[in-house]
Amino acid sequence: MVIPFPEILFSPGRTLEETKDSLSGPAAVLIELSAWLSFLTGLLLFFDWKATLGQFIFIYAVFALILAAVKLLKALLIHFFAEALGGQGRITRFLVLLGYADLPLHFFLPLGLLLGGKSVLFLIPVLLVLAA
Amino acid sequence: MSRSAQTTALVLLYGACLGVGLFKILSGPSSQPRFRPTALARPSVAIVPIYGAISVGQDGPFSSGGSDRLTKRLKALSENDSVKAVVLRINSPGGSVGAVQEIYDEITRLKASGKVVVASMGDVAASGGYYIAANADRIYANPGTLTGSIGVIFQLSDVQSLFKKIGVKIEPVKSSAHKDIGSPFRAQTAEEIKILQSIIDDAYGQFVQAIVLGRKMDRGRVSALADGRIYSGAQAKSNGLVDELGNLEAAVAKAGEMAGIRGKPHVFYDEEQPWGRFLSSLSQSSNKDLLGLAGGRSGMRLAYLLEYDW
Repeated sequence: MVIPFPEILFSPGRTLEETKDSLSGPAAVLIELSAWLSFLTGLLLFFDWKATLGQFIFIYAVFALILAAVKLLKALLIHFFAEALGGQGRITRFLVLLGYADLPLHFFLPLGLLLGGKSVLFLIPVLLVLAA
Repeated sequence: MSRSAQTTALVLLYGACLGVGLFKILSGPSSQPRFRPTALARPSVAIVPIYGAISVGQDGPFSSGGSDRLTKRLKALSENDSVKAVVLRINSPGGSVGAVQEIYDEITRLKASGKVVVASMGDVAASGGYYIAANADRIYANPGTLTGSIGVIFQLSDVQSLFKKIGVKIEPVKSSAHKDIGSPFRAQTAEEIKILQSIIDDAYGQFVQAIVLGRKMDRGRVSALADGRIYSGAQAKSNGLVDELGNLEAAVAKAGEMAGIRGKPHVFYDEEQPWGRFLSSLSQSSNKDLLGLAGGRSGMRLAYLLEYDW
């Protein structure tokens, strides 16, 4: 499969080795889109908010655009400061890495399903991800 | 279990989670009022916010609000046995005649279903905002609320001189003499003004009648007050257009009392879903709405609207 990330749960070392050799832009974009979908769905479930299909698609599109813009800005700034401090590297590769860094957002979907509208415990992983 | 089998199982599990999650989100349209089980368990007072300029509108992915949504919510409340009273929280300068009348009619049905309806005015409940309030069993206003403005307005513009300056001439081809009545591209004839005035007079008569019926006031008295002027809440109280001076809490308490709810009533806001509000804020521009309502942008529309600076 294009993205072996589910396997990271079972054999992290081997999966990371494989991923290192086959880092790809399209895979990173797919991971991000699916991670953001999970994040948004998890949030909606947790707060027990309803939406029509049109509203959901619209919100997701706006959400994805904002996150993509933030991610790009973040990558540019980190790249700029890294180079200024003597680092070396390509920003495109860094963007791909940042895409893979969104993997944990997938956990929001099952958490949203489990804790939807019931507990503030859901805020703990949200805060953890934001802090990270 | 092999590695690929584990991966496949995980992907399937994720797909199932996504499916269930999306189903849960999409299964209840945001336009429907949402009642929490706690709200259903005991006699409740629902607060229905009516904010901003009112116009007829349907729910769409990029818009929400308007009289369609509001009447739907009022209908749902009338069918909910736990809701004993409804407080209309009005902060509106009015809106298009059709929209206001649709809401007025739905309030009549709400009352017929045995619910107590109390209106609570915020900053402004003028013109169409007052029209709606007039149908409530009891009206509360703040001393400084702007209300009244009982009247009808057609806002016609004449851009003929402007178009002449920039060398544009609009030539309508029409089937009959009055087909382009109200056109901003020419001055209105005396006969057209007469036609428009007759429509305004008719709608004005409907407004006065609505107050006579809703407030159970003498027609002559209402006509004397309905010269289009605005009143403060205190003035409106002294001339009988509102019943009490007080805030939302007072209105809620009175609604509970009138509905026979013992003790402090359980109160909930019958609001749009958060996404609905978010989308409303994206799609709504009150200035544009007002211009549109007044006939300035999107055609001619009869309005029960308080005109103010924008």
